[in-house]
Amino acid sequence: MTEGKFGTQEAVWLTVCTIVAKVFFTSPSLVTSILGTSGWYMTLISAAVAAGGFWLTVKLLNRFPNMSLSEVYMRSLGRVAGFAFSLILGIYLLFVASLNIGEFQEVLRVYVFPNTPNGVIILIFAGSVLLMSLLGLESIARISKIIAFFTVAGFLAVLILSVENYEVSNLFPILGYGLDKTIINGVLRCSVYGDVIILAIFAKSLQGIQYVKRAGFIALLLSALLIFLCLLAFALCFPYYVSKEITSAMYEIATIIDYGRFVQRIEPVFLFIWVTTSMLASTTLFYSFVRLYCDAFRIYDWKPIAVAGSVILFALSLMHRDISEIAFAGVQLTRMIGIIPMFIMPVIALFIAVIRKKGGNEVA
Amino acid sequence: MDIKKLLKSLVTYTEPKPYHQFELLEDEECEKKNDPTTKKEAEAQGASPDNPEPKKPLSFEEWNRKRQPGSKQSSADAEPASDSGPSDNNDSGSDKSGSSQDSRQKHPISRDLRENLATIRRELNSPTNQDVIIREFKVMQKRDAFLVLIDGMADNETINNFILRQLMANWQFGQCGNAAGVKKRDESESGQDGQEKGGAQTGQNKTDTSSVDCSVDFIAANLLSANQIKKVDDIDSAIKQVLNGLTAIFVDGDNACIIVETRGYESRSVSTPMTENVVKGPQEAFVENLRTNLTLIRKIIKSKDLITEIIPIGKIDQINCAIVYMKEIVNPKVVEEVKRRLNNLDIDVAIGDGVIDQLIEDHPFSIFPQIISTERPDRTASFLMDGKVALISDGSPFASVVPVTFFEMFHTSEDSTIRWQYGTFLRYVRIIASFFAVFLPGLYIALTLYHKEMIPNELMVSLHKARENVPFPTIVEVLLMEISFEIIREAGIRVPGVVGQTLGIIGAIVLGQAAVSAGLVSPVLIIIVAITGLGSFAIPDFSFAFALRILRFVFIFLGAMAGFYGISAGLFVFGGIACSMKSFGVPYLSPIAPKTKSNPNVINKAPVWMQKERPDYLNTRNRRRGGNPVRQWAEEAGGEKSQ
Repeated sequence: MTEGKFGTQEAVWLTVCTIVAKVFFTSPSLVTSILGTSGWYMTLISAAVAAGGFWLTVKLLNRFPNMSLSEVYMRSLGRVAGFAFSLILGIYLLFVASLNIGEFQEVLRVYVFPNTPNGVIILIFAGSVLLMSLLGLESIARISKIIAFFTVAGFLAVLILSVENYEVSNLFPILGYGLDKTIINGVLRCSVYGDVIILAIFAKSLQGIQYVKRAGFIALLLSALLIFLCLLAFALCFPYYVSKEITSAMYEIATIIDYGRFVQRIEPVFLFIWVTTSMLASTTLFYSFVRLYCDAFRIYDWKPIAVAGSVILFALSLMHRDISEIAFAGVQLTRMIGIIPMFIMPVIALFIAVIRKKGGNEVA
Repeated sequence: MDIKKLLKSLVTYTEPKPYHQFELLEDEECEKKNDPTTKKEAEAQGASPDNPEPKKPLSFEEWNRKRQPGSKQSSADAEPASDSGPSDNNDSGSDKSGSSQDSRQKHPISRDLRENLATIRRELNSPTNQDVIIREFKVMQKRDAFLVLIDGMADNETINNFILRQLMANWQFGQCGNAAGVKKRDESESGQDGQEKGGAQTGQNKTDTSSVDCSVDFIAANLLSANQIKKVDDIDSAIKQVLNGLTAIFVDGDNACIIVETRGYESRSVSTPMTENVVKGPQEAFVENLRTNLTLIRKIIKSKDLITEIIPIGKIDQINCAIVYMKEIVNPKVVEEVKRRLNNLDIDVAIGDGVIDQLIEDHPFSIFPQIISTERPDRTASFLMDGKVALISDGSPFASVVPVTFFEMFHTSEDSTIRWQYGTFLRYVRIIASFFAVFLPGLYIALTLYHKEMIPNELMVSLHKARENVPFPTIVEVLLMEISFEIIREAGIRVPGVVGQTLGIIGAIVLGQAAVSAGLVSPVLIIIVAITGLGSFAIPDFSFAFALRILRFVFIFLGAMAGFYGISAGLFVFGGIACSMKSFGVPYLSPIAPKTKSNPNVINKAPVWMQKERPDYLNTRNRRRGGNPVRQWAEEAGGEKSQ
């Protein structure tokens, strides 16, 4: 499977958009319901753990220069285990992509299209994801850079415009439900930033491991900053008992912006960045799945796999009863177990590579 | 397509064919040229870095020999031909050796004049085809010859005064083939002094005129006073030239003919641009004559590095297509790619640049144009100086420029001629206009159907009041007006002159007013459609404006189907398509995505003196446009703070 090339900037923004898209959905209210008022800084702990995990992944890649993660798995673990690792990661990413779409559809139904059938919303979304995937990685990376401008601008605009609604007392008690709980959840929920692994999957498309490393850490830093600011604004705007009930944090923050008769209810404008960022995130995850699947089965022509995969994606996205099921059974589960495919599996591969003395060309 | 085949293709899998897409990647040669250390080293070794090895010019005969079909170096040695007239078609003929177009057997010219005459008559369908003029005569009243031309294409005055008069005069010679000794008999006999000075010589001439050399080489060297002549040795090349308006002279006993530049067909004179008007800047536009167009560019770029290569396109009607570039700036790979695409066209006829553009563009199914078409010589010159390649076809008043990027579609030549602040302002105006042209009707539908909460109450009330008598849904209302507007626009262009403009204005006013009075559409919609129409007129590139006009309808449907969600999905997909495109190897959204170095001249326009480098994405041979600093006078006066 041949890939295009892209630069560090594209890699950074691709990763940032994929990670940051989560704050548009139910995650902020989930965090509030688990940790109370300490959720906004818990994300920094998650980011730090994710940075550690990514550092180990880069160590693994360093042993096998000019190889993608799936190839590294094959070399490090052998054909069978490498195949299993690649496929597990791919299926996990497909599952996360379908959850993203399901969450998106439910949130959209809550706020914008209460009467539209789920299938229609998901069909448009999955169709866009498929079309974009068919255009290839280069195109996805390039559009991520353009979308990122608007996403960051939109984020900052919403955060700045909602300053009038900030209430500092909403941050207290500052330790939330307890520091221990905050730290444990912070570590476990590092999978929020686990999407940084896409840089390892597409390592061959970047100019070298040092670029993967640089792009990964910059992306983690920017994502952590944006998610932190978003969670902080969310905590400042709403008391925690209200936050727990809110379906989409950013959408609600945008809704309460009111600067006179004409600058009010601007959330539909916010819808543009929300939709495009979510589509980009799902496309990246879906394309990563296609890539891992093709690598695992040594398939050269990835386009038919993308078409077939999109049908599975569409079906998976439809398989939920309601938003609660998605939020508590789906999202919460992936946040908890996500650390395994995202960070633990690369660490296992690294460990085995060291034991089996595979690779070892230190580059970066 | 056969339905069976279509169904079969849907359920069967075929391996994808390997597709090579041209990419303009970092080039070692160009990198080295831009590397100051390499330059210095090369200079130290005594060689100019820009001209690594001066090429020895070929003699006339050597050149012709090399261009024989059997010669391996034929195309390689066909060094970028000058735009000298008679050589045009033959140059391309050599380029095309091996291509499907020129696979036919060449007909060599016979030494027997009768045979040549018969061949020419047969090939040009003379005398059935009465445009073909064949004039038989005797060179120097001695040797049989004929010339062939197309009536109306060639200039009669040139032929009568500078070809026939010269060839038919009774010359006398000092020595055969010695031009220094050539004199007209009347002149030599008329002057007493002349007789006295060269009496012996003249006497000698009078006694020996039978051994006069009348070969085409001699005629070309001594008799013809035309500035552009060429010798060809096959009938097909000669016919091609004749069809282009040149004149072919065949002489008995010689297996070659002379092609003389005599083009003199009627053409429009240079006038002001029709589609790219500017307030400040040159007011010249291209015309349908290739020669004139090339001259207009040369008038601006008076450089020896400005190269024009001409390739004929089409098997039946060979349209001359000029490839123009700056040799020391452009990346040679782009030129090679342009030539490769042009040389590999297998088509009967490709009239005008529009058809050629469609035949060579990278993504024919994409809605976005990948070639900029301009009628302005100054803009073309500016593109050439950036390191781009211009294609100018005979018969078309437009130059096609490649490679191009998305952001250049918002640029005009006026941006450079006015101060940078005004240029930047104008670009923002155009971008806003483009936004309105594409999205406004779709956003209006989305707002009124799905996102009413966004509309302030007072505006909502007035919108509803305006719409209360309208019986149609908003989508029908919008489509009705948009389609009417497009019809008025098309009708306005087709109806000639002032009537067309009047029809456009009156049509829009009357139709809009009548539609509102009849309760078919709401007044607000008239405003929306008017702003949309104005927006589409403000887009500088005609093809790009077309693309946006079509996209507008897509976004109307998306807005009606799923509000802002649908429009966002459309933006995502069309943005992705634009990101995936390349124009002759250059990513369409360069220099933003992918990020490459470029002058501050993408959307914002910085002062001219800050634009020191050529765009990185073109990977030019010479990156620097100016010195550092450009305004050296400012540094002399105490430092240029702004740089």
